Amino acid sequence: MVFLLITCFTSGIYAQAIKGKISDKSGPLPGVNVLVEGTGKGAVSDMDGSYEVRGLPANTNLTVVYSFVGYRTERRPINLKPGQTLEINITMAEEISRLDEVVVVGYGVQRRRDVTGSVVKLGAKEVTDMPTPSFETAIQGKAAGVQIITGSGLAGSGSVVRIRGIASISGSGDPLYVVDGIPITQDFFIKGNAGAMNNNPLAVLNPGDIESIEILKDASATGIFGSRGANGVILITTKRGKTPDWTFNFSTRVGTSSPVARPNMLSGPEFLQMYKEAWINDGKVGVPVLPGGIKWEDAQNINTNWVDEVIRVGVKQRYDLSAGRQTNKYDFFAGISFDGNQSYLTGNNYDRSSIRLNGGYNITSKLKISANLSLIEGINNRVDEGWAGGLGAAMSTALPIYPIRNPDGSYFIGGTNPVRLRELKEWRTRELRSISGITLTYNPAKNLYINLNTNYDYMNLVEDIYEPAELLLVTDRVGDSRRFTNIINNWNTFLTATYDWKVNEKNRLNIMAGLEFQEQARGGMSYFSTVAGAPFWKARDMLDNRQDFTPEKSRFGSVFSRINFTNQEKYIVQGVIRADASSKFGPDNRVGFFPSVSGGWIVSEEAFMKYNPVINFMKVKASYGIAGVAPPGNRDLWRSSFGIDSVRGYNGQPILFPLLLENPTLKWETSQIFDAGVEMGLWEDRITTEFSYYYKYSTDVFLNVSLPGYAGFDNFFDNLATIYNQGVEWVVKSKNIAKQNFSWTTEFNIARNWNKITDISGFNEEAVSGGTNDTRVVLGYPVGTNFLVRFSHVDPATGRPVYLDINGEPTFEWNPANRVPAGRVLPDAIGGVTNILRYKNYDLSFLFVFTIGGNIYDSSSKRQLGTFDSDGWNHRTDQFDRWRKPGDVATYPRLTTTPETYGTGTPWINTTLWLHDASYARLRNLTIGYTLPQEAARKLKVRNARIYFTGTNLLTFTRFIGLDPEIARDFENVTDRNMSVNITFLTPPQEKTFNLGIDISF
Amino acid sequence: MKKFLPITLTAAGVIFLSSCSKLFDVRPEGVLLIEDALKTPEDFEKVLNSCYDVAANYYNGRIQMLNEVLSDNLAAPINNNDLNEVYLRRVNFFNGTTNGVYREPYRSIFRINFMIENFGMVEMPESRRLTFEAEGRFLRALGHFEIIKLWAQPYGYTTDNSHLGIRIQNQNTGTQLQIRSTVKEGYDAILQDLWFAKNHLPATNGNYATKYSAMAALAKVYFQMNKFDSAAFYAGQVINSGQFTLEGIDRFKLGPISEGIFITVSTQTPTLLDGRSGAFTGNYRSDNNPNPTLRASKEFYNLVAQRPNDTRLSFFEVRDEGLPTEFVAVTKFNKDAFSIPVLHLTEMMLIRAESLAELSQNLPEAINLINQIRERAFGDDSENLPATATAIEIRDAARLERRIEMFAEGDRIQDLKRRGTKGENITVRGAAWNCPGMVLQFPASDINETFLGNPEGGCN
Repeated sequence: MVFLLITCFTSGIYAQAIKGKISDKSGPLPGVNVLVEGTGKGAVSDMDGSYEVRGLPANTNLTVVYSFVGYRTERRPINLKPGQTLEINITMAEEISRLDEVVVVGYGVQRRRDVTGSVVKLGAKEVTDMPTPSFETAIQGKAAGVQIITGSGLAGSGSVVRIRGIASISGSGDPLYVVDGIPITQDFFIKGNAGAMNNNPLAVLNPGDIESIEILKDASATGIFGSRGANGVILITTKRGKTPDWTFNFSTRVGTSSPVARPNMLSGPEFLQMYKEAWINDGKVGVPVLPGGIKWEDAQNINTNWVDEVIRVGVKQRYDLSAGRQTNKYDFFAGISFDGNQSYLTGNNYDRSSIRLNGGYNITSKLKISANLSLIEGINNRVDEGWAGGLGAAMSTALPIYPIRNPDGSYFIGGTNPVRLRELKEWRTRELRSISGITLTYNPAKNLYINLNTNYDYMNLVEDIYEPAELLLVTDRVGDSRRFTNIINNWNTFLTATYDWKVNEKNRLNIMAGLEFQEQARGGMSYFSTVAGAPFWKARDMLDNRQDFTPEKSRFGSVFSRINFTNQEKYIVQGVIRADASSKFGPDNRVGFFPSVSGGWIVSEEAFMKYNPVINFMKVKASYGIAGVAPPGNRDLWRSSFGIDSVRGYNGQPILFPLLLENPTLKWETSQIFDAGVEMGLWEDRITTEFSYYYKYSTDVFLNVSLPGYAGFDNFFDNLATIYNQGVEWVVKSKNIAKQNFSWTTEFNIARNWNKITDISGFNEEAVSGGTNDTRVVLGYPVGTNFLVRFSHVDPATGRPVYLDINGEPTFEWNPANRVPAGRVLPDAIGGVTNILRYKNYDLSFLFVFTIGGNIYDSSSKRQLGTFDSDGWNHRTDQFDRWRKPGDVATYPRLTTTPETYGTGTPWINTTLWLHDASYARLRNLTIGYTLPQEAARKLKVRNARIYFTGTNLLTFTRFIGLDPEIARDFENVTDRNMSVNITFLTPPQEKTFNLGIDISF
Repeated sequence: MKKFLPITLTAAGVIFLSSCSKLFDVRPEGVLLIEDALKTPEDFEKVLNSCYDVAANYYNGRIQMLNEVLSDNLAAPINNNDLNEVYLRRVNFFNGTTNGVYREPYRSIFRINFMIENFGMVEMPESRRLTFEAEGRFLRALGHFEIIKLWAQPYGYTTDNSHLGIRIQNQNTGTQLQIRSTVKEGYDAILQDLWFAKNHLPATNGNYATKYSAMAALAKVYFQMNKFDSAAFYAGQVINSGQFTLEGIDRFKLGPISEGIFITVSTQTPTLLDGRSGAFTGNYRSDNNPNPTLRASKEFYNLVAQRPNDTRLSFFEVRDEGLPTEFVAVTKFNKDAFSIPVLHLTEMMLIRAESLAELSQNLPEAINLINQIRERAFGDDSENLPATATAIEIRDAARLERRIEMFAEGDRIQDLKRRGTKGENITVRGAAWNCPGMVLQFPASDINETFLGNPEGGCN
């Protein structure tokens, strides 16, 4: 009774409400902010455009404000009678089409209208719509000309991202990642490729914190980042409070992980049968001698399926809770998130916990302070993979005739045993990361803004490994505990002044200038103990034998300016200049200048286009600029340095030795970039499209060349190559159906890149040093050329493989001198198609990504389909198609135990037999969702609620016979990363996931 | 004013960048720049020590094993594709093991040349500088000698030795591509360095090179050239110096080695074991590894076993007897770490004995030298050569003992090649001593139009 009374009483005062539907000319408009001024009450329109604001006071003059980015803000005065629910339906008009959308462009924002460069903007939804091991993977297929090759199935695995081809070889070919203005630490080689995985510095970023990603592709856009923009820039903006009253969001997702394909390894009996055939083929008699000293009779009783032993169904879970608000005085956003990401590899998971606080406060009307603070912990429970163990071992040297355990229960140690390795070895990396910054914005006069940003990116990566005596097969100690700590302190500060000068009615000038300084310092230490008996994370007090790593430090300073001039809102000219100084160069080449100039013409603003019935918008743009690349790492390569070892030395005495061959003339790698593009909107933007062309000529490209042995040093870092890239990109978005209850939109993008190395300063194909060397730098061919001996056929008479020599003549001899450019890892074309369908409260979206042309090199198949020799690899069932008797026409040659049958002294021979067409199409993501109707949501006291199912990598269409046509193996170094994507060497295939998720805001 | 603020800022920035170039000269930490590295004569001593350090890293069994695998002393290597290529005499330019070993001596040679080229940076007494240079040139000669033996056909392969040898680096050449020197140029350079070393090295020098080291190297080089008079002369000088005495049959050990004329040392202190014998232990060791990579050949084992009283037979053990997996394990290196006698008295005695036999001079001395080795091996004089032994008998006895004594030291294949150049009919595991596969291939990064690779095609 009391409850009822209270209800009546309160509803008597605050029972008034407004509700209605918001739409634009093409249908319902979700996400519109509805604010009743002066009450602090508001709402956001839902999927079908409905909104409702309750609890409004009666008999008061109020104004309802409807706002949405890209649309003209609407205002409606109201005065509600007691108990009244007023229905207000609103049709929002786009603000001069989409041209006033704000785009982040680096050191500021620009209206879409004023952008003369090529910038792709992705919203939060596009980054979080599917579970990926790392945020950048979700971009795949959504931005034209951005090639993303997902790494592997390992938890936290990174991707190789290339924007508009590849213009670097031994310099980093990765784009620059900038989070809220901070060029973040993005070194993939902090841990080398330990356990066949590169540490992914991007895995710690919580996709749930991301508000938008802007990808800058051309010189006009990247020019402001000068020397660091040559490979494109990815700008990440994190969320801030934006609703007038508190909004809380909670989202969660649970799912499973399994491999997209399973290796088809031989069973025990199959292995023995094939082994025996090889033995007999070689004319050997008696009982075959098996690898690992296993007796034939024993082997017949064992049939271990190692693949089953090393994989599982992984479980994924994600929880993300955030709150945000924006008022006239402050804005605030806080988020907390946990992502538990098990891969399908037994024992492997990556758990990320993160906290974010973003806020701003207007100290006075002229001075604002804002801050972004984030703290992230990423824990990766590692397993050895690829060449180091795990599934890689199951696909190679763990033979099906090896048991897991001996009859007495002890582990089998006579050959590779990935289960033993996994169960005995403890391995964990823990990354603590904080990417934080403070900004002061001072507005001393109208249209003049001065910004001071100070940022700090802290990375603390601690790797703990414990190998017990039982694993090491030693008795003199308990086990080996190792800890490697890497700490990277990355400071960055910049000061900018921006003046928006409205010269007169027709002309506007935006001038920005700034200074930037960055220092990156790296250090670390290692610890070792033979008595701790546990990994150091469990035995912290046992840290012993500390040794400090050689610290490294580099500095980087810049001065830059951007002038953007607009005439009559249709002619735009922009000039950018940036001068960069880097400690990575000697005094003569320390400063580099990177200018760019660009222009745009909004043709549709011209009188003659005003009444064009088809084209409602058209913009033509072009740019030319120079960008650069500095050497990777923080070490000086331009001057020689010396190391001293007084601990071990030699003969108990210290040693002093030169560390590198100096290169005092080392200078910036530079790219000249020309771009042109046209954007169009047709039939009132029912179809929007963009076509772009680029030409990029890169000179003084870094090569870390292998020196001849007699030089006394293994390699030398120098400006030696010239590369050109050109390409075209086409994007089209179509609103196929836009009805109140049913809508269907399609987005399609495709890009083609041509790449060629035009100079390597006279070095040969073996010039490029280090790494797995899966591909070569070949003059006149693209970066990442498969340089291989050509396999011709299997000789039907002898069953021996026939190769082609350098002149194309058949030969039984495999000789590396006969290698030719035989393939390339760069594809002909890449792209993606997204379809989004909405029916009432249901939504369905699916994304296909595709790659046309290019090659994939299945490097491990040279052993999996090669000789049966003493170091014992298991083979694949593909080899059933082999030569067995004279006259056989077979894919694979006769089985043998000695590489001499295949015309060589080693079983590790590369030929075109292992080179395949890399074309594929993949259903990257399929999502089915249901959004709670407004009525139901209200009953549950929530603003919005959506439940969805999403699956990734559900279908793959390819002719590749290996596991996964889209793969990036573990790399040894930057050069390897640039050159050897689409090479698989026992690399775990990507994962297929099924997930169920709920998003709620209240 | 406000319009021009950005421009002012730009101008200020340009001035800042250009005037503060020093700000961007970040002195590296944890390493030394050249001006800090080379300040005193002791700094040069440390550089020199690092040259010994590198030498110890290729004499740790790596350079010896490449020679040994090519010879008939070993069976086919197990579980090592690179070494198997060497065994099959099909080394291609991607062989990581041979390429890795090839680079090591040049790493040391770079440092030696660097040291010699930079003596001017520091004031030091002439005598000290000469000793540094002599030690450096001794190591440079050893490095060149090891490479030329494996990567080029032997001295005497052509009558004037104009065939392609290796690159002789008597000065550093940076990144410039160089041509291969001829074998004649190679041996000339090696001898030049050793003569210089012999003249300027002291008689004692701790664990480092002495004038006897240089003389022993000269004896070895001349012997390889079939120049028996010089070989006998220098071997005699070392033997008669009285500085060295025979060890037991095992001269691979930690601590002093009384017959070591030049050794690369493993060091043991209470806190640190600095082992420099890794490639010996890693590949031969058979007590903690049921499947050692390197095993003695049956033929070699039978040769030793035909004299059952030979105590050196204890270095070998037949395993899995009668099974398909039967092999001859080597037990000589079943220990954790030991120093390597690179040049030792046993070899000097055998060089002198064989050279004297070849010259038919001082035969009683030659017989005496061989008998000292035999008495050590057999514990008595039961296998001694009689005083009436002929020059041929002495020569053959020297060769037999040499093969057994220097098993795993990489001597056998070079001995066979040397004899091949003398005109003897030599085949090694069925292939002629001078077939292409008997020479290793250079790394892929070395071969180009300027620097020719060795002919391929193995020995079939």
